[in-house]
Amino acid sequence: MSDDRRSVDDLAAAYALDALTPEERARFEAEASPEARAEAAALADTATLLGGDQAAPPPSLRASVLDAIAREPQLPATDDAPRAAAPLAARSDATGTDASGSGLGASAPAGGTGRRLGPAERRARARWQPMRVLGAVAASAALLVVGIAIGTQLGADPRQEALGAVVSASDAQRSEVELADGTVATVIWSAEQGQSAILFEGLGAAPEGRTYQAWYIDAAGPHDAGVFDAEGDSTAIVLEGELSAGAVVGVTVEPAGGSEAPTTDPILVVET
Amino acid sequence: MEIDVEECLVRAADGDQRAFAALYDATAPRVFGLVLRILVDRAQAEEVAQEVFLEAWRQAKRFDPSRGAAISWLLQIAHARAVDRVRSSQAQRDRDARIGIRDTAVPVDVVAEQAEVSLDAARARSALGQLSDAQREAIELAYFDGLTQTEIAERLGAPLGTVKTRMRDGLTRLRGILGVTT
Repeated sequence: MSDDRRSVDDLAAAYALDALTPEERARFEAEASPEARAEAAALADTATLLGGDQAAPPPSLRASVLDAIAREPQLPATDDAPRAAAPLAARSDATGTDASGSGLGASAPAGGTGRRLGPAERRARARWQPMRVLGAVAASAALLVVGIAIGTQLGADPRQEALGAVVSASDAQRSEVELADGTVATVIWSAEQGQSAILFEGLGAAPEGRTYQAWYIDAAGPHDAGVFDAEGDSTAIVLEGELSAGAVVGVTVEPAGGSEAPTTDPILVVET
Repeated sequence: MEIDVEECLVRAADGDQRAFAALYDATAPRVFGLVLRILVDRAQAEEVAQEVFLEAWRQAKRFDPSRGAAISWLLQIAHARAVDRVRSSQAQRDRDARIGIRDTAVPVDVVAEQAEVSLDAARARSALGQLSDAQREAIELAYFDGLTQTEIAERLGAPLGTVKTRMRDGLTRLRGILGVTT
């Protein structure tokens, strides 16, 4: 072990106390030995016992926190969610190549024709006919463009991070469809993460007093996956809730505030 | 009151907003107490506490119950956020001004501002009292004032290596006194 390595490990206690500069902190996280990391974790646990003070926050904080989390997507369990538009674009190239080799339909594990559907799922699918999927090569090219646009539009938005995590998942798959009004939508999903995202190019604003609402439809029926509005030329959303195996992703137009179950015919339906 | 904070956080990781509300109710006084102690200013403490809970919601799936207690995980997020805020220069100036006001105020006001002094806080203070003055000073400057190790060395006029040793020996001793959270 070099002197340099030992000096990194010496930062364990200061790391536990948050007493490092961002540069020192990054260096510890990158270079510290497993023993020093374990020591830092243990000492950080101890440090939390120092803050025994209690103070009642104002009641408004509770309301404001609960309101904020209702609109905030959660990150996947892995630590390596990409943050920037760059890895997002780079990874979309790789998955795009993959998809163009096998064809999107064929690469979907749960979308096979022989799979048995439950009665509720059949019912849902009678109304939610999956849309014709456009070419895979075009899909990855469009995604690249949209990915860059999102990067500039959202900056360090946590939504972009969540989006990046779905797009760059090792098992990410995608389907591109054209909506009736000519909007091109790309649905990207990761079965491993149980998450999906939709990128729209050219989605117009919902009619007055209405909103877009995303849905997951599985054997148990449709599940609310969040309401959203169009945002300029490119709209990107990460669906709320969990994508179950073989679920259908859909979007409807609903009264403002959203509905408990879809009340109109979907403008987008994609099988995962 | 039997609220299982671990259970609440694990359920919140599945997107359960009601479990997260229960987690908030069980932990908000601790989180706010820590953030307020570091930032001193209530308005800023409220902003940071909101960031902390939002961060906890976003990161909930990354909480690993086998690696520590939920309250410890949450307080580590709170501490890191509060320290980030106090290091931004305006926040630091505001804090200095407030501490100036607080320290010239009559003792009754000081007691009022410290809010409820819990058993945990009393225990922590007693444990800190068992450290050497030099160890306690280094740890308090880091943990409650948000100074970096380099700033602490400058403030104390001590070599950086000495400060590192004081923090490490002091924290290790505290670990022995206070035990483990889980």
